[in-house]
Amino acid sequence: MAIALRRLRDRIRGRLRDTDAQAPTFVPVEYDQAISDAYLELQSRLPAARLYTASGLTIGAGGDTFTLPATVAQYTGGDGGAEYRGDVRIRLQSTGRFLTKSTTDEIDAFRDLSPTVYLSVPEHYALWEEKDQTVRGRVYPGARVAEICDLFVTLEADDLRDFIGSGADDMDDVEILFSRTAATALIYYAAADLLTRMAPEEQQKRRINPQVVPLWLKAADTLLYREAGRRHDLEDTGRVQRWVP
Amino acid sequence: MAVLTLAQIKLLMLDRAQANVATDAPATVAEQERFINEAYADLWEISGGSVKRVASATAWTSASTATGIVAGILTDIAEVISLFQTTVSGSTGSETDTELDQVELGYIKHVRGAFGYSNYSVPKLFALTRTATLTPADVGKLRLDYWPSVTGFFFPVHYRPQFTILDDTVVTTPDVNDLESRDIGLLAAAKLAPLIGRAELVPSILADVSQRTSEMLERKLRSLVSADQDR
Repeated sequence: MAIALRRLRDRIRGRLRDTDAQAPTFVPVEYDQAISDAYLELQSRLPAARLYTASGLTIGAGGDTFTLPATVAQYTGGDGGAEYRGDVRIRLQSTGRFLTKSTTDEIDAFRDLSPTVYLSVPEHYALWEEKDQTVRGRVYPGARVAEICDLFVTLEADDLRDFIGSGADDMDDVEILFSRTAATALIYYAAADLLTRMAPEEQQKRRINPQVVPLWLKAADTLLYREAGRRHDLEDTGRVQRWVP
Repeated sequence: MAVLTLAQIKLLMLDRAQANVATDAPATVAEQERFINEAYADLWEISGGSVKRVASATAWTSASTATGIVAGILTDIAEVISLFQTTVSGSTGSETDTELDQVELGYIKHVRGAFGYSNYSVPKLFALTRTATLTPADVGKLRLDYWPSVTGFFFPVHYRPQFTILDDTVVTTPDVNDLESRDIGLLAAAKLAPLIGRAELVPSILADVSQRTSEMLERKLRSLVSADQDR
């Protein structure tokens, strides 16, 4: 469930009692920066979101390299710059088989002493990330015919500030892709961050006690732990597993 | 008890100063009004002023512009309480209009030149500066800087107006409450009495000033003498 950024902003603002527009302690720009930073911080502590894309990748005929999609839209209006977390699985549509993930050294070992690429049906693949965060890969054997592949990937959360617009939407409408529990954790966390940065005279003006900061951080941790548990429970089978390729 | 008019305040002042005579009056009409307006200024400051609510076209020369700068029309703004953004041209700041946050002009200049704050499609922040001028009619006009500089919006404003003197024709009733309007007459009498040889009446006049006004005047006098505002 996504929630519009402006709703979280107002809840944080209310929590800090910073509601006087004539003399605000923090302005909306500062709130949005705190929310965006907290969002990335909390997302990094949660299991990565998974994405399945049918026909998401094609290995060209006669080739052995490919590039993962560079643009994956995570929220409406975002620039969609994809950053992969690490769990990437590739399935050939021609055979239905998942490719075995290997290291680049292993692929090099397969290719050693072969001046040309051996073409057949790919079985192994290796990935690497280039300096512009483009993720490329090699397969072995190379593809004799063009191989369309289904992709199962995990993605890093997109930055809320990388909003390039969609229709009449603006930062107020940017979707924070959190559940209710995680969104509440974000509220506590961002409010604690801002209250810690608030000058003492502003705290007095807002009639707010800074000793509440540890309580809010603890609440945020508890909610986030619960959210991580929920995500794990979703994918868990309830029994110990051991998968051997 | 209703708010006293200028004429009623004059009578109160003259009665208490024992100067309510038709022949050889110790103070002319113009002098009486000056004493009254001097007392009114003191009460105005204590009273805190009222709020005026005006539409965008009354306050600014235009609606929002692509530069993010709009010139003011009003010359009687003492303090802006709230500035709103709305797409309704005649709105005076309704419950559906969104209030902007007031910041320093330096912050507006910063965000105008910044690139890391993403996009907003409605104005969020504003700053006001008073425009320097040699033209008497333009004294007190403000310049509104807002961000982001999107167009299609109007800016109704709620503000506390500056002090306006009382006169016989235009402003005949002070903008204070009932007790404070009586206090204007009493304070004016206390100022007038010593100058017409009635100094012995001052304590009895001031004894009838309302409690709130007495306390605020005492506090003001203390701050003038010792600069101590906290007692």
